[in-house]
Amino acid sequence: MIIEILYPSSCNLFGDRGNVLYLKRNLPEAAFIETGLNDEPYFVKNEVDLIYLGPMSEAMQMKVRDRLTPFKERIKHLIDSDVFFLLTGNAVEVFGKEVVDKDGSVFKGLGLLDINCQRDMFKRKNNLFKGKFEDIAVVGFQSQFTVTESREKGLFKKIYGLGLNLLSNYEGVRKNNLFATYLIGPILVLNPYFTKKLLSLLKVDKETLYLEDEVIKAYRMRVEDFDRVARKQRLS
Amino acid sequence: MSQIRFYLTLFIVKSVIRFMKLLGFNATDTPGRIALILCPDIIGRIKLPNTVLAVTGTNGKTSTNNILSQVLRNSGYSVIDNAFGGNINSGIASCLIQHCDLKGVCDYDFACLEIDERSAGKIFPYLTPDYLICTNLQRDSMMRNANVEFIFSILDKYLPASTRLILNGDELNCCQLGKGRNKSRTFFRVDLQKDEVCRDNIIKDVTVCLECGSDIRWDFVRNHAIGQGHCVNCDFGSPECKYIMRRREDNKLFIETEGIVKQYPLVGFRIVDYYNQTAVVSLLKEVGLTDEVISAGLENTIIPKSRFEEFNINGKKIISILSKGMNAIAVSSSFDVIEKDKTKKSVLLFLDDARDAVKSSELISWIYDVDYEFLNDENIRQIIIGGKRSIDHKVRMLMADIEAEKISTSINVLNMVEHLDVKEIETIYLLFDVYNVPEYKRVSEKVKQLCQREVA
Repeated sequence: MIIEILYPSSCNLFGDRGNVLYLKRNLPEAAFIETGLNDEPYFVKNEVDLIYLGPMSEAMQMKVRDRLTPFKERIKHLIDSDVFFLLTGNAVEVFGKEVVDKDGSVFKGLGLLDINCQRDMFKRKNNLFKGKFEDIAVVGFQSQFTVTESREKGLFKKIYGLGLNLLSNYEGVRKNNLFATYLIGPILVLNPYFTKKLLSLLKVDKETLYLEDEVIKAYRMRVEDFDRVARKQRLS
Repeated sequence: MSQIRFYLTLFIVKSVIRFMKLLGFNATDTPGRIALILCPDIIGRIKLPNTVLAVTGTNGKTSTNNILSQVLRNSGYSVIDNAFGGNINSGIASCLIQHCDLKGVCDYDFACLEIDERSAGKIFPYLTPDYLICTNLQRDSMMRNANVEFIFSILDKYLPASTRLILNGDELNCCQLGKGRNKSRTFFRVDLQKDEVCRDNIIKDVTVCLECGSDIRWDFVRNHAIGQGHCVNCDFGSPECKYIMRRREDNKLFIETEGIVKQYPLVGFRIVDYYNQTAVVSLLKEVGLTDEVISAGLENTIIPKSRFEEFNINGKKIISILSKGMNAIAVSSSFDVIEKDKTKKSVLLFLDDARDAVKSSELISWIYDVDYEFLNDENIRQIIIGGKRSIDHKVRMLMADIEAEKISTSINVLNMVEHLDVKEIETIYLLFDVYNVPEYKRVSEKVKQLCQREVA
């Protein structure tokens, strides 16, 4: 199995490196290729099983878009060929159509996903999210300047939290095997059951996750804590 | 009309401050908040001290401002500062109101104000510092500060053009402040020290050229992209520095200014202390103080105890470090200090944000930016983690290959000490968050009692 991590030193704002670390521990046989911002991505000339891209600053979004634009057709082909992608935080915006800022500026994405975003740099949205992936409860944090309108399939069915936008029933976007979520940080560590599911979709035969007992214990405590906060906020 | 409102606000808020003090409360934010409601431009209406010095930046601003105000006081100047903790607009307003008379005049030589970088837009339109130190602009709590570029854009947008900037020349983000606008930008840096071990941290806030996106060629990176580097493609890079901390010898710090090296009494032994002290010396020399006055002022200057405290109980050292939870760089720096200490150690960590635990559920992403690998050290015999997020920290530690047998967790912070075995231990580190000070005091007391009992 070959996993390519795109621009890990520049696109790792919120401890998202934890996802890569956890994948490495769970997939000791896999080859992990870390591509620097000024290197040609490995996927351009080679087959890969999973491509990971984490969140980045707004200026970095432009740089990443510019680096990936020459390979747009190749990326489209990979998405259409069911290659796995995992995009976290605002990485999805690079693959989307555009981000319109409140100040009038427009960031044009690669246009590979049918999503449009609105950005307000003076309104940061921090919130706890809970949703479902099939029958699995997924929890995580959103911390972003944008809200998104999507014509793509949703990734997580929203139970509470912002999701793509307040009115949306979903968080994240799924297109074939491209999984894009606004959840930030080590979502794979935070969500062991989802990670197991993802690994099974990747056809990895793994009965027990790395540090499964501890990770599930932390997950259960977190779900309980999130629900407590959600109940409190609803009551107030 | 607005003048009447101003004087009335001063009168009311000064009364509030007096009343709060009578009740034993510290007049931190609250009086300022009231003042800003009653008179939103009050900061701009108060007549400021003769010279206004400000300190901002992600890490080190409290310590730097504290050193600055101590040196000036030790040198006989009258100084006001906001050391009681309010560094946003309401804290600044509280500080000024507390120290001005009923006419709104702050009759002091200097104001030393620590300013929260995020609050620049609410402070600088009303208050123009004569000099401003920026210690660094680094990754901080993501919920508040998003990312470094975002904080830079706020600070740079509101910085008054007439303010003379004293910038950390070893930190490429803050070096860009006021570029092409502020006439006076002076840089300081700290040389790589003899035998200094540079750390390869997980996160680096400057990974490529901020101008063209090309790679950076680093002469050295001390930690977290603090160092000297230049773009391989354009002229972007570390600036020429006027003040350079060259070396430390015993209790002296040697700082070079335009080719002349002078020695100053040492305030703290960590690299971050060198930065803070060099920033202060640079600023004071720019203000016009002589080396003799600065040296005399530094002689009795100490790092505030709330940040770094050391006790010795019958041969066992207890070292407390305020480590700012949710700030991966601050916590990694503390781990670095621990790792460099070669004694037999125990580490007690309680970094949960107590405020956040009440209002929400604490974001734990930042712990994957922290260099827990530094704690994978054979001299560390025990690591005890306290708080609701202790299991998350444990998972992260196990991913850093720290032996599971060394790690204990305790949801209740006050029970952490029950796991502590000090028999073979020479040094005990207590790392706590800025919002956990009451718990820290209780835990610290329990550790001291345990050490005393052990020796007895």
